[in-house]
Amino acid sequence: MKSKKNKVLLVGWDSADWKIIDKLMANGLMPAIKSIVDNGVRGKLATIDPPLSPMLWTSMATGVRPFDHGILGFVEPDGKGGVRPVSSYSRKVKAIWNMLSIEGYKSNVVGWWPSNPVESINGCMVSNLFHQEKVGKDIVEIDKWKVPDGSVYPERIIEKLKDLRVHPHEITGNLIMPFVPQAVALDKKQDKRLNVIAKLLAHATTVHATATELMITEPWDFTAVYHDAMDHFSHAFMKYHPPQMKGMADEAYELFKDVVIGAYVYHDMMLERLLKLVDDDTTVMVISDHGFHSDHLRPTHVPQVPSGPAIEHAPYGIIAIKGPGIKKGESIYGSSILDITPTLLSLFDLPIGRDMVGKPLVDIYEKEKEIKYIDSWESIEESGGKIVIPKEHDTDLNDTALQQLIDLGYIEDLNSPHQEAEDYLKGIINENNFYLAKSYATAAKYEEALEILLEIENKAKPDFRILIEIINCAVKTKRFKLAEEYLNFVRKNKLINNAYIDVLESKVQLGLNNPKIAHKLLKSALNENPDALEILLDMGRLLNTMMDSEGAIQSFELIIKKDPDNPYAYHGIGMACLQKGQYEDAISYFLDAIDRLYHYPLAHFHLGEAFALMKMYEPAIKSFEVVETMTQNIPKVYRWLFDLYEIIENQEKTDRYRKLVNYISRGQRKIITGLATEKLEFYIKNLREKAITVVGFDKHLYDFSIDLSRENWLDELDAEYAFVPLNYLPSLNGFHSYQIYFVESKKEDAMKYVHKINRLKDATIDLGLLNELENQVIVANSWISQQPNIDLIRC
Amino acid sequence: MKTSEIITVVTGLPRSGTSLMMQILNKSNLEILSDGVRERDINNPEGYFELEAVKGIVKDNAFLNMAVGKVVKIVVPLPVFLDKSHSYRVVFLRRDIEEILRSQEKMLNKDQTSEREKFRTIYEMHLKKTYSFFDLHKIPYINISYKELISDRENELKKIVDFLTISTPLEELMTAINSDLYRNKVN
Repeated sequence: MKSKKNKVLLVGWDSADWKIIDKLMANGLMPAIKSIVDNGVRGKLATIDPPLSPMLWTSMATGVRPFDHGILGFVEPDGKGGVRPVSSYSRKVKAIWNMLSIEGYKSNVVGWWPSNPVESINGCMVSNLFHQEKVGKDIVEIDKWKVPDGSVYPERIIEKLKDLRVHPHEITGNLIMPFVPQAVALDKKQDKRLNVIAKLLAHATTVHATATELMITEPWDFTAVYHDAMDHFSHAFMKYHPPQMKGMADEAYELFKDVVIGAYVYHDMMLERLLKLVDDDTTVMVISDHGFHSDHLRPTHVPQVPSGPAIEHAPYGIIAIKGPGIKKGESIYGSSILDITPTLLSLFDLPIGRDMVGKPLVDIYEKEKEIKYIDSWESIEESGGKIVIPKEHDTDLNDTALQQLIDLGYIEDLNSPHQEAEDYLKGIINENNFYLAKSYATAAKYEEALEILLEIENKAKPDFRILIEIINCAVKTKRFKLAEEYLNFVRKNKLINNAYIDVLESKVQLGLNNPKIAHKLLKSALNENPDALEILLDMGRLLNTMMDSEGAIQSFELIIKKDPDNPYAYHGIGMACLQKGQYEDAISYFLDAIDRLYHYPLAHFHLGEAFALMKMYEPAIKSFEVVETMTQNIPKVYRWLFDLYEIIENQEKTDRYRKLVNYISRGQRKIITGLATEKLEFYIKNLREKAITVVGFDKHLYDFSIDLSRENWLDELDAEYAFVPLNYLPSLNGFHSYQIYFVESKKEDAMKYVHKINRLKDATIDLGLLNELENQVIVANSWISQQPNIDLIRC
Repeated sequence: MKTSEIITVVTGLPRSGTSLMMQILNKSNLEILSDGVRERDINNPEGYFELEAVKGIVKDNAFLNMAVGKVVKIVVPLPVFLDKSHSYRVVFLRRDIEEILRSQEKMLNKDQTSEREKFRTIYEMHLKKTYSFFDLHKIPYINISYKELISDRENELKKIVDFLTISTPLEELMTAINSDLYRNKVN
């Protein structure tokens, strides 16, 4: 049996947010977390979409995304026509406690969501259902309160743990007073909010008592304690938190304004006790899966859809670590919930699976840490712990735990006849598939997401969330006709407001290369919603596409003013700087974006491009290699790495990336482009007369014969050359290399060509058109200069 | 490997000519596995040649044991649930998706023009997934164009005869094709 000198204590506080913690630390109200921050490192932990706790905490414990780990949503089909709370049965990969068990380390795992039924790990496990006090809708009295089957491993510890549980009925008015000073004066039976506090306090206290008991009485190398109470406190009481929200009654505000603060302080008190149970050789890590809006970003209403409360979640949780070999008093940047398991493995000097999406947070260490890798923990035959109750026997807990989720507002109540029960089950399956699709889309796997979304979409019972996601994925996969079909449906049935329809349509129009129409639509949407960050983001991106760098920067700066941690806005300004040739500024903004969201492949990619354009080859290579570890969806990365390694004369790597480029390459295509003029038309006709095939237009250069918006038109190209209008060049994908024959003409000649087609007089001067044509040339030249897969021949 | 050890799968999207292909192969020396549950109708006057058990392939693919040495119709995307322990060869029927959509609408007597792109996308994805499955598991397949099968039946049938090593005379197989049935074509 191994025994680690330096133990690791992991404390999970669901939805903990630095905005609140920082204020309370400054006022001396959270000394325990402050001691970790002062003696260790702190940072923001980026969440992943969808921000739903069971999915997120499983990603924390596995290092992979939901579509890989299998935990989707709050409930799941039980395989017998019913539903049950999401369980450990659905997890498809090993969790950190399994990996540690395989390596001979002992773990205590308490309360992890989801962890029921528990697993026979090397150590002790107490599930998230251990403290449930309900059977169906009814609360069980203390003397009849049984320990649920499958909630504790090993069985020998049940006896010492069962009486540590705190029942909500044991929480008296006096105990609630620190949260609601006037609690005693209120009637607990009348005001359900006091019952909610009692229940959450009881649950949190049970988890804490269990964890401390195991830490004291059981040998351990790793203890993981998870508290869901902070999240539930926040969902129930953040609306009363200062500053007083508009529309909040004075009386209610005064009564409940201290509840969230009380919850944070209580968690800190529990942490203080845990810290007293460990020595200086123990590494302590406190984490949260997402934040919680507590200021002007609090939503004014919660959508009445499944998991609607998640709208209150903020995109960044917390991470604070202290221990031997960990830096002191410093901040770390760019951490994600996917990095927790790789980092824990690195603390134990164990190898990280190459199939994990997360990375070890090497910046936490004082000295450079050697990181080991294996291909996958999944290829190790040993399980590291089996689920203690075979799947077919798990029935008793369902009603109880489901009721908990119904009480919390995450799922709908079900009290209906058989047919409705079937519909309910179908709805649950669809809902989980929706989360699965969202999980794919977040990882830029739009094709996989779209396939699921189209299967679950039901026009007879339209769900605007699914329809919006379909439109987004259709745009991302360049299926514009599909996007339009759904837009028409949404518009016709008035499923979302006009401004949002405008935003969606603008994406389609941009995809169809109609930036002016897209701009008009976004402008109209912004008129109705001037503070909508998402619309400002779209506007900034569009203006970048239209080469209006200043306008784009303005939009992005407005976002940063309202939401200083928005990584996309920093990336957008970086893109504007890149276009203006201000590479140093671009680098700075891309780094700002990455600091806020490390798992942002495009930001790393553009950072690499900016470094490359500054001839800073080593950092450029480093950036592109980061992209390579994050996604295979940006084929240009391989071309850049091939070019860069060739420049720095690293033959081995050049050969490697040449092979990769050849592997992904779909061959070379010859493209003719330029402003549409008589000269260009003559150039192409001349080729055609020599029996050289050129496709792209029929009667004249504006009579396109190829649907350039189709994703795979280049694969199906059956000609020696294709004519691609200048403004469509950026749609050339990264899977091919290109010889571009750029036929240069004067913009005035291009204007004459337009006039000829429109049967206008030659002398007609259209200044707007001239500007537009000039802009097209600038955009095209700028784009071409930044592509690694293009040979340019000017004619 | 002997033909008697291989399962011959006829696949394609619904309404892409899979039943016609089964009718052709029914004229050959190959043995068909079907149960006659789905009876002939106006949309397929010569019959469907289907096996009810195929619909349950996701949960139970044991019927494949009975299909060894025979021909069975399994429409796209269900071949991805084939039991990999058997050996297969596949006749993959291809037809213009627009035609398929029209044919399906006619069969269902339902105007789905407002959902054409949805179904087109789903079908494209199903085709892609099925081809990927065949490629991944090195299952040999031949693409047969429904349009060519009607307009140039001799050449198209020759391809099938070669691929499946059919001994039945071509003329015999050709009798199964009635070009009057080529409706819903895109001009």
